[in-house]
Amino acid sequence: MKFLNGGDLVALTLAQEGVELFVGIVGGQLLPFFDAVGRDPRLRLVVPRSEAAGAMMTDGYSRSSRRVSVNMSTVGAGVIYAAAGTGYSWGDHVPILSISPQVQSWKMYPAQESLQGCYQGDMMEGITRWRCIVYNWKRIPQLISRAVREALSGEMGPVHVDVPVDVFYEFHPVTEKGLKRLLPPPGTTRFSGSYFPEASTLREALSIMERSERPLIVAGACVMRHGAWDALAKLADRFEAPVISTRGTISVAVQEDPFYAGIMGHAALPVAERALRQADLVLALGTTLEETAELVDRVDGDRALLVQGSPEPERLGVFSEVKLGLAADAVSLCRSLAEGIVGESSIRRSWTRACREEYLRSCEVLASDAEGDSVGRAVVALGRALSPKDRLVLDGRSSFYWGSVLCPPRAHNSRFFSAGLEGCGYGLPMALGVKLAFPQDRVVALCDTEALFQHLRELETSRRESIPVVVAVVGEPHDWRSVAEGFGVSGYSIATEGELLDALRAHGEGAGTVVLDLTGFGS
Amino acid sequence: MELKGYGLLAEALYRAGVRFVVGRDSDGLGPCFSDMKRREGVIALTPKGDISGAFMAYGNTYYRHYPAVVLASTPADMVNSLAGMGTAWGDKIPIFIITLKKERVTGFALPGDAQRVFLRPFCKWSGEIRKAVDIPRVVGQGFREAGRGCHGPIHLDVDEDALRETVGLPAERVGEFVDRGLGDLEFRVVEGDERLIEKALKLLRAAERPLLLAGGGVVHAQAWEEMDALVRALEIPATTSMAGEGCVYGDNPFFIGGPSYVGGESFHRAVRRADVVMAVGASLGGLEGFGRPPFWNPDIRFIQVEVDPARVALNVPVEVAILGDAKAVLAKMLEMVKAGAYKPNPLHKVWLEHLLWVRKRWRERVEKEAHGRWPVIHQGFLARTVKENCPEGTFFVIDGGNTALWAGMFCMDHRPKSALFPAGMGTLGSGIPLAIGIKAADPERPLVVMQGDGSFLYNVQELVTAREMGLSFVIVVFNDGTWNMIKGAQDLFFGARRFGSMLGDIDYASIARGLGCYGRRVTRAEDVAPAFREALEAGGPAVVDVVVDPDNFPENLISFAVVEFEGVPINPLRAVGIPKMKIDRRLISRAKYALNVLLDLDLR
Ligand SMILES: Cc1ncc(C[n+]2csc(CCOP(=O)(O)OP(=O)(O)O)c2C)c(N)n1
Ligand SMILES: [Mg+2]
Repeated sequence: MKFLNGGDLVALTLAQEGVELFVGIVGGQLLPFFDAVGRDPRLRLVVPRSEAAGAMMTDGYSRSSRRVSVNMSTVGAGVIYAAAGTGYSWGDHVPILSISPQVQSWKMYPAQESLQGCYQGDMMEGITRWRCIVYNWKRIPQLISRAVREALSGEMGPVHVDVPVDVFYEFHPVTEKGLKRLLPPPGTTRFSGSYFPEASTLREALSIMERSERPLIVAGACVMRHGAWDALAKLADRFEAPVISTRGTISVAVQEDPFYAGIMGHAALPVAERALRQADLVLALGTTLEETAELVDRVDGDRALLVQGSPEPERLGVFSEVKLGLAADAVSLCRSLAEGIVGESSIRRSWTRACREEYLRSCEVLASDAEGDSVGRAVVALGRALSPKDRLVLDGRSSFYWGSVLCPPRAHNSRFFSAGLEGCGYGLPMALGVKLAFPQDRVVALCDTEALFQHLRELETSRRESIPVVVAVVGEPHDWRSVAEGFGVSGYSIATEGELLDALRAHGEGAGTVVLDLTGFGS
Repeated sequence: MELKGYGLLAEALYRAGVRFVVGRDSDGLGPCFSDMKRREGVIALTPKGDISGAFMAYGNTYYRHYPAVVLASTPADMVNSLAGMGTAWGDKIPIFIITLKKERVTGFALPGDAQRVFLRPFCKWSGEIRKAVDIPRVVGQGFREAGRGCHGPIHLDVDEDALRETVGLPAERVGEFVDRGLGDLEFRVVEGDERLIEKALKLLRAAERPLLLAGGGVVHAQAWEEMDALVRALEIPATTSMAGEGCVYGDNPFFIGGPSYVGGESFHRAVRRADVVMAVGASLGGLEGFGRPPFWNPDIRFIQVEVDPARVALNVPVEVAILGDAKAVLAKMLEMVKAGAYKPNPLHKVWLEHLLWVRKRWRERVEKEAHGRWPVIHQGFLARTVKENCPEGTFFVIDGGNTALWAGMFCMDHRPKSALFPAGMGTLGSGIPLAIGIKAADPERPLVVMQGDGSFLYNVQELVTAREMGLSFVIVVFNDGTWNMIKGAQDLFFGARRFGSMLGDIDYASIARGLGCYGRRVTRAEDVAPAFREALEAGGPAVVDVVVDPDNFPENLISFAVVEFEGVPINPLRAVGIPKMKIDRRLISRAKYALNVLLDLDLR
């Protein structure tokens, strides 16, 4: 028999759900949870230097690994910081779980001026899929499992759980058998199968598709969240249609894919916009279309048909009228469509080729523009230095503008950009999260100066927690080398490609986190 | 150039008295930001970290007693503002946040009014502007709301179309149009009822052990002069809540220490034994132990002076409630006392002397301990040394856990507008941006940030902002290599398993130098004063990184823990473990404190 407190029970439930990463800063009311996480060898605890960055780390981990991770922040003060990172995850449908204590349950609603007591759950309302307050110790497993389920369901996204301090600390004797009854057995708490589109709607979609001469596939966030890139490639191949990504889903395809035709909302790639205007069918997959509202404006309803696929039926047609809505997970949807399509179409094939060629031409134009631009030159060099397996986080306007094209993805799920809230600054913490998910891979954050300042302090975290990443900075000149050295990590002022390669080599040979100041590149 | 909504908004803010704006000159509200930047006497600032902006606005608003503005154009700006907004809400600071409403969803993921959802918990009022001509009127309304009753942040949601709209007004009529729209911005003062004041005075005089408590409401009403004078006139022992710090002056012979438990044993003695308490602009929240046991006498008869009827008797039953603005009520009370409505009760003197004796005894103990001969620098010694070496009139910004308590014990002048800690939320990391907001309002005033090491990095990038603005202040880092306030709880309740609370040896002076600032590390007690004086002279933001004792904690931490964990079941089996705490004389002192404040004893 053991005494288990609320914190133990939360941690045990999450361990059972397969959650491994816990990021957060301590607080008195959080301690039972920290203690439980710390004592469980299956769980990794990482301490950032701001709860905002903590949430961004979990974002990077969950975005790249498609697994839930937990951000822990203390009542009031901690949660209001964490909201910044959680908001970014909300914008991009990243399944993170935010857990916080509250003041004593009998002092929460209405608030009566407890130290740090505030309506934090209400604040989270605009930026989470689901929230709850756990008032009852016994319900912890049920509600925590549910939180994980909600985060991973449908379009996915962050969820928030408040646990009043008295529930976190409450303890009861529990026998082995009792614990079994409390904790749901693994694999019994959520649907993990495939969610196929309904047959008659699928047939209708296929017949629309077969009639189309200039189709265009837009790959939305859920294609990434559901890991549907292979299925998407198959669909594009069978259907012979070009694919464009959103800013958030760049690595849904790789640069060499013959169907890949660019990024929506990228100023230097008019091809995507033109294709949207010329298409007679837009197949918007894995998206509610909110991220693609620009698209909605450009699709001429009389000429083009919009067919939308989303894992959440109630989200179909919300942001724009659609000809047809398909409710399915992104993998099953792509597969079903790919398998159902019959017949080849030389018209579609040449349209796809035209889109692709235009895309490659704009890439070339941008590459030659880059020669006349200091950021552009640095990014070209970086692109050459990267290997296909490297994972790259893009942060800031010019990083995105140049990096998305000049460091194009050569592997799926290898580029990360937070598009949802039009914000910047997440680059470094997100890179740390990606590195935690893929410790074997080299992870690079390409940041504008303006962006790197935002969460600069996490250089300290990378060092203390031994999470080595490469931070490359472009844009406004600043003495980043001194900054890095101040934090005790290696900093390099890089002017030439040779120096860049040397610095990357040092990183590979165990130099830990390196900051590559490319703001003076080529000068 | 024809006037657009952007210009009208800037004009309205300017005419309403706004002189401090954080934002950017790009993105939706950019034109308004640039317009403000061009105006005489306005500081329009783009912080290095978006999260810092609202904290800077808080610091400036606190110091100027006038709302500063946060311009949030993008959804990211909005979520980044939440930390500062929540902190301002916790301390009832009336900052203004202006968000951009886009009628259609255009490429980002927040539905039209999401900002209203997540800002709602932290704003006392939210207004919407849909037409350019409405701008001055709604801005005026917002300002009146900000300063009415209990203060708090205000939110204006402005339609982008309204800003783009051309306003058909000839240039020479704009001023008049704006002024008419803004309306009267003088905040109306609610005066107290004389009969109730009389009743209160009677109750105080008849009391055996009365106590006066000044709260944040006195600060917001800028009524410290009246408060301090009233204490002297009534000759009754007085203290302040955490938020009311500075409203009873340190040299006031009736001041028994404070704020709240930071004042140590005399504060506890006072609230444990008082029979009548008059709370002015204080609602007795968690930072004051809710006015209830275990710390407070359950039979206290409360008099409350409060501007907001909804906050009367929020936590304690109130026998006499005087509704009114603290400044007006105190002035009237003082007038009545002077006119003979009150004669000090000579019996109160015994009570006062008892409290002053408790205070003296406690101060002697903590001061004696805070010497420079400990093997690792004692935080109390550090705080004292800084205080002794800082110029007259130095403002203290306090940011940290235990660090905040040490600073509270040793650095307070107990004068109005001389120290700031965001007590309501206790938000770590507020220090540097608050300091920037204050320095922007009063660049000449010397300022020191008493800084926990854990908290230091939250907004450390703003050292660069401060440097670029040419602001000079000193940041004293209490480097104990740990989130000490929480580590202390782990030592007590979790068998000294310090998961997540140890940061290790980090060189913060080096980080400061890397950011182009002065940075010096100190490890020996005798170097503290010279290093601090050198930092004062260094110019720009200057960091003194002092290695202090991780095994030391301030005794009044115990008071906070008792309230924050009131009613929470603590498993004693969990607490079992080998304590890593160093056992020395200091532990005996902490034990005495605990017994004195919990059992009302007089252990020396
Ligand atoms: C934003 C935020 N996160 C977490 C907490 C919980 N907390 C309160 S005190 C404290 C420790 C602060 O450490 P430091 O700044 O080093 O001060 P010390 O207690 O060591 O003096 C923490 C983590 C908080 N108040 N605010
Ligand atoms: Mg510390």
